[in-house]
Amino acid sequence: MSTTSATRPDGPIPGANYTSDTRNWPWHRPPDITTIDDALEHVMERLTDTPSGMRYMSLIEAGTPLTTITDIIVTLAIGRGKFTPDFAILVAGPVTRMLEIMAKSYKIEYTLGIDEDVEFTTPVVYKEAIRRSLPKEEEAPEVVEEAVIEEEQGGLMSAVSSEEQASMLGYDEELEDE
Amino acid sequence: MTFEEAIITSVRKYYEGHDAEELMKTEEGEAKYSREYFDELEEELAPSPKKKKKSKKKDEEVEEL
Repeated sequence: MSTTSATRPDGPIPGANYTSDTRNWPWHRPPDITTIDDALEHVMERLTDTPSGMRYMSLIEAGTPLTTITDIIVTLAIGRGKFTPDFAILVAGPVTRMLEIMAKSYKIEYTLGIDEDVEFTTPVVYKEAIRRSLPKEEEAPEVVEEAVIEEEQGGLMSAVSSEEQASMLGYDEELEDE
Repeated sequence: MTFEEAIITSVRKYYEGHDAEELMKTEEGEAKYSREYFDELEEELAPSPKKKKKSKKKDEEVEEL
């Protein structure tokens, strides 16, 4: 289904959403259940009378948190038109408790999945902050050893020494003595 | 906040002891699935080991008498 291709415009007609009948979707109709007891009764039936209960237990045993299973259960109920999403959130606590009891009865190790990741500042950060807030100590001037740079001698363009110059001109020391 | 996060927050609040009080007020009569009901159900289906030991002790005491 391409809606961007100009040669094959097969997307929905603008305004189709206003004309289509959405009442056929279960979640667009008023919910079947509006009380906590009815909701939990429904969940209890689903857990005990259908194989989905054991499927959820297998998921819990595999390490899936109970909150994730609760999310699956209530989302399915919303999809079937049993709860509204708001009601599903309110019922989530007792549903998790029910799953917890069921897991305990089967001696399955479980994780609730409600632990908060507490973010805290490490001591390294505090130490660094304290160090930066302190006045800077006057540092003693470092004794820099002056490097003795030897002059390069005999470079290509450097001036020749007087002795060399004299020898080049033919004034040898021996001749001068004579 | 996503729906999943809302579920986690709701469950966390429930385990902290907060109930959906306003929703419970709409119930006709007393709610069946209360915290007490769940505690009793837990004891019935998965009794805690401490209470098991206590009951054993009690049994021994009775036998001694």
